[in-house]
Amino acid sequence: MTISHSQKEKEVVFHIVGKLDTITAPTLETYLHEHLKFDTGPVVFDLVALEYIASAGLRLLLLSAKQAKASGQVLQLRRVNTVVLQVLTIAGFTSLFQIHSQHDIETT
Amino acid sequence: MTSKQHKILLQGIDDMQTLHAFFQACQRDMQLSAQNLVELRIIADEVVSNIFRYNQAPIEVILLVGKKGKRVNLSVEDSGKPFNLLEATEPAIDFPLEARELGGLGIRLVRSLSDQIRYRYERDKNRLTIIKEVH
Repeated sequence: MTISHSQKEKEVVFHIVGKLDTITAPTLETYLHEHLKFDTGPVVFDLVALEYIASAGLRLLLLSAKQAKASGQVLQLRRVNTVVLQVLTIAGFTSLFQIHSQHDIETT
Repeated sequence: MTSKQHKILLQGIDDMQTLHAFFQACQRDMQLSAQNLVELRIIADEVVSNIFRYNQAPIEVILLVGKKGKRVNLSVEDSGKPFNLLEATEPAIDFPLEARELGGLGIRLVRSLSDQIRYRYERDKNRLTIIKEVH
């Protein structure tokens, strides 16, 4: 798993790439702890290159969404692929995040 | 068609790094789709990490993966405390964000992604068998 972030005007986009599971989640947690802030503007997690997500990763998404809400924001998950969307749906995350699937982006 | 069974021994959470190469070998031998591979990897990640989280070292986990026809059989044996995944409670998923619990989703994923789950505690070992229908 690799993680980076970029800023375009006020929006901050985190790019989460690879496998997000028990082994890699601690790296993401440390990175988010250091860089994730909701006081500058909207935050987006771009998941187009996320191969899969297990519950260790879901926990971090949920934690980040809770932090966003506490700051009056909504965490947006963008370019979510089919495999990841399946897991988010099982976890009941579709009502907690603004989710834009890869398909939505390609057809709009 | 029956594929040869793949086996791996894990003795701690750091050993889980080897699961990537292990499942790649399974995929090659069993000709699994990318989707099925991901589902099996998630199931294994949840089951194995759960064992290491709730047991003190030293502990041994043996993971066996085999395929017969359209069925993949994933067996996990561990020497930890008795734990029946079939009886574990899942977190409520219909709560609003602020009331959602951070843990417990792994159990839900395993149940949702598996077609059959069997558990028995025998000769001081947890023995979990998961059947996954593949396409």
